[in-house]
Amino acid sequence: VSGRLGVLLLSGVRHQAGYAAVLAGHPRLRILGLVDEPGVADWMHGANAKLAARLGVPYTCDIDGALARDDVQLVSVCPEPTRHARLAARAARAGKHVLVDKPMALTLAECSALEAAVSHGGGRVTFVHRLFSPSIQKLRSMIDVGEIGLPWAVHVTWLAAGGLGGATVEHDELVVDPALSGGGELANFLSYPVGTIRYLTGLEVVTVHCVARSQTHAAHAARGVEDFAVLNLALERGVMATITVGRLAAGSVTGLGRFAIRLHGSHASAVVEEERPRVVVQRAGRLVERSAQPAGAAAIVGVIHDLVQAIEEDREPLCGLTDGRAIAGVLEAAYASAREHRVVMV
Amino acid sequence: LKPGIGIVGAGAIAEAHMAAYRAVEAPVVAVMSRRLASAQRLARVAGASLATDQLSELLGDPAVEAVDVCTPTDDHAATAVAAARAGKHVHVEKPMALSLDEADGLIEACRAAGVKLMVGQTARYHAVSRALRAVIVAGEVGRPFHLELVWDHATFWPGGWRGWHIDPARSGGHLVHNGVHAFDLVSWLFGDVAVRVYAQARAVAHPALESPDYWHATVEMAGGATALCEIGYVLRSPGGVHRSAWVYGTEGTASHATVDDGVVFGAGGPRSAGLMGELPLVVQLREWVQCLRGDGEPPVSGEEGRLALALALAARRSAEIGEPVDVGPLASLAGSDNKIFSGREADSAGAAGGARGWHSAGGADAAQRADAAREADA
Repeated sequence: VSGRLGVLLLSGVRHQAGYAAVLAGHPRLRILGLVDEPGVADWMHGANAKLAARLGVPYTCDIDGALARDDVQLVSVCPEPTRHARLAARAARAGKHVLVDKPMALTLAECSALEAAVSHGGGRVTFVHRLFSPSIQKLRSMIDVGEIGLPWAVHVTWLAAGGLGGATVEHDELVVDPALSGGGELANFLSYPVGTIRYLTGLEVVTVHCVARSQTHAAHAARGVEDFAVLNLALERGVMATITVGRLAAGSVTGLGRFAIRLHGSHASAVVEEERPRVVVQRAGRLVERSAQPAGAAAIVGVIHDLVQAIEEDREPLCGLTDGRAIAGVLEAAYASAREHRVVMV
Repeated sequence: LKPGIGIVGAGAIAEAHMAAYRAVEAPVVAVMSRRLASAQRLARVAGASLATDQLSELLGDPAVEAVDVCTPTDDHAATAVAAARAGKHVHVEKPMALSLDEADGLIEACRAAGVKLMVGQTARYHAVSRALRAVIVAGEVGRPFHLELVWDHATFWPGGWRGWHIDPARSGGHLVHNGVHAFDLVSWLFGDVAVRVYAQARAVAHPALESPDYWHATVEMAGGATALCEIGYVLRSPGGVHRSAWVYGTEGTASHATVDDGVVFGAGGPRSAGLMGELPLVVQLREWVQCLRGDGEPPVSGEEGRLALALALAARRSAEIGEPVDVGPLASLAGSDNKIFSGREADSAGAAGGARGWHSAGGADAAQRADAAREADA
């Protein structure tokens, strides 16, 4: 591949603004336009138009036309979660490489449709994940060199703090209205910890036990979706894992949330608190703590860089269809377990 | 008034109790062990006038007002019941018994004899546990809805294959022997009873261990809160300890990690030293002795000890069958409501209004929560 890859933004409803900043800053990419379906809500059109204006690119509602452009090689799909897989499939079927926001898909059926589209189009697909976070990369390297030995238990905590009311979630409905979100914070966040556990262990999840509750946020309670969940997983080879995932009240913890990993291996255990390495500033009696490791930013830069390299090297990106399907399977099992108070096979 | 204490057992725990009684100036007047030499050794250190290998002799000593049962768990109920029937107040090490039938028998024996019964749930007396509970009761984190409790330790099986701790028939296994620590903390911190538990366990030190030495469990409370507990003998560095506790509330979090408790830089590398706070056992036995001196109720009742045991047994069952287990029927003696913990909160809640929503309905039903939120807004 020579020259810069043309990027089309397919919907700017959710984190697209943040992703676009990284895409725009990448030396091998240039953003050509933003497109969305004509029938979306007015506020979505408004958000799309605003983002396009900020980026200095046109905003249209002609998806077929945009996907037909020869100068578009990569599509960044970032609508509300219930449109992720369908729009990603549409771009993939047109032969484009695809970056899709997390979760790649909410159901296994969506995964199948996306796989068929990719098979037809021949492009590469990745989705937003946190595996390029420095701590996860270092932990993986410790496993790879044998320092940890054989991992036999992994615990991942993924808890955002606040974010509602426009802070980081553009509209609360995007994470609490099942028609848009596909569920509550399980649907929104489970992709991250499940991806982390699979990446560190190299093992698939076999069974899921899940307790999901609406605990903190009135917005979730009003829609009957969970803002907090605890999962116990059985992985292949008898390896165990737990996940604590959800959204805490704003300001509950230092930084953006609590993102922690504990891993037990045959030869060592490791504890990671991503927000724990921090700089403490005290001034006139006022204490300010800042994270010394903005892991999220590093992760998304890594995801996009990896996709560009995968395209250029004609290889699979670090996270692709297989991973997205595995995660969707765990998500489906988690919701079933939470509903039925039983252990569910993936 | 200094109540005379009779200690049954002369092992490491008995020694620790003896030292704690000395710290709180409560006289140990008698020691009984099946190994007379051990009883004599401990009695000599304690300054006790009686050392015996016969329980009846200790129970017949009028100087003994309270018996502290520090034997292996399979002996707890029988010795404690005998003490109660002899008219002695009873402090029993955790777990209070191996089965709920045994626990019920002990509770009933103490009630019938009119003697006090305290279960040694030492984890409550850690400085951190008390600080976390104070935060919760004061409402500083809003309504607590999740507790994450991690106790990771280096491999620790005293006595090797001879140790009674690794024999499930004697200790109940790791999920019972140590599980009652975590499960008591869950109930005590939330002020609530568990309704369901799901546990996973693994034998780490050796595949032939009959009792897994590592487990984690998700606990669902009656009020809708959850807890994720883990206790494992899993750290490879000798003497290694990594404990952490996170209380998540609707308005904030409270957390602690042993890395903040002082660090010892030894030959095996840096490790947490647990230097902060008074020795938990000293605090525990001071409260017990104060209870003996006055008319107050024991700070950890038999019913509370039974509740922790019921949850531990349910967790052990869950790990065996691979499915969540309902705790409610097992906890029936204690009642399915929160009465077991009521009456204690006023002491620690202070005048600040106590914990908002501490015992209120939790998040089990999102629609109910939505209604509550609307009412609050109104």
